[in-house]
Amino acid sequence: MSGDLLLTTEEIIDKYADMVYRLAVNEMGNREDAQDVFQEVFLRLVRYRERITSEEHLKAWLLRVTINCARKQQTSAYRKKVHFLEQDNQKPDVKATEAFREVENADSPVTSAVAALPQRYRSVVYLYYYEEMSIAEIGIILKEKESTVKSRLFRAREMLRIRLKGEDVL
Amino acid sequence: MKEENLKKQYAEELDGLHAPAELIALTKKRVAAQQETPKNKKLSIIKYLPAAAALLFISLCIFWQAGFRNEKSSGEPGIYMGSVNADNASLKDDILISHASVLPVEFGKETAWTEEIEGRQVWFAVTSKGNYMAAYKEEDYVIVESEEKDKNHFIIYMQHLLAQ
Repeated sequence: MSGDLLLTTEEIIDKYADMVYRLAVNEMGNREDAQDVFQEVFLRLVRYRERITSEEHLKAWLLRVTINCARKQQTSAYRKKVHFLEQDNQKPDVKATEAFREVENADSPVTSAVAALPQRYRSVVYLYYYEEMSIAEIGIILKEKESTVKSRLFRAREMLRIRLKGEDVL
Repeated sequence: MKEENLKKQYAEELDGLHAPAELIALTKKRVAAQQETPKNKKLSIIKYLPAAAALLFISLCIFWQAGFRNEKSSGEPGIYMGSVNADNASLKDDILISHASVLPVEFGKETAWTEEIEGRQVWFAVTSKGNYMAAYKEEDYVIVESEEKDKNHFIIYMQHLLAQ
């Protein structure tokens, strides 16, 4: 343990399991892939634990690593499915998007709509609306400029508006 | 207000999502297994590297020294004496004097014998090539090997050697 971080690794898992899992599902769009991401995040924590100095640092680290692991896993899964679909002479980007993400169910229209967004928008939506982080905080976690975060948030809202048209949400 | 609805419903949907207990248990198990393995195997190797290098260096020095000692002789320890002129005797140039803690096996054969020369017991023997050799005791055994095939000549040589 280092700094003010007095929790054991097991205690960290208990405390942040739901947060990591929700973000993983949000990023991956399905529970099965989210579980792989979940395990990867905490296995990495064992290696980097000593560099984490506070609980605030820990939360930011977990969020960032979850997003990074999700992106890494998505890239490898995406490539496999694009290759298969290209052989069928179908448009890879649209078909891959639909094949890649499982729409959860009708009872969670917002989560499903967010899962259907391009990857770079999903994490911004999650951190802003669910974790209630500021633009500046999101920029630090994603290592992006504030202007980039604002731009993505604006576009995400527009896309969600279109997708959720008819739903009594937007 | 619409954005408020989005935020509210999004939160409700995600609040209902929990990490499965089996997933948590499996993850804890994997984490515990990873924590048991050495964190930094490289560090262990680096820690012992100077000691291994020192040991290798010392071994090389020992082997080098052992080889150096043997360099000057043609497979046998000793000092090359050169030829010795004695009255009524002439010996060939190749005389080899060496030291040994025990008498060589030639001195145990039936062809070996002893004589007293200059108050010392001297052992004589014949090699398989027919050359004569002798030995006498100082702190250890002084072995005198020659190319001489004449017994009397060799004995005279030894008399002169021990008279010095």
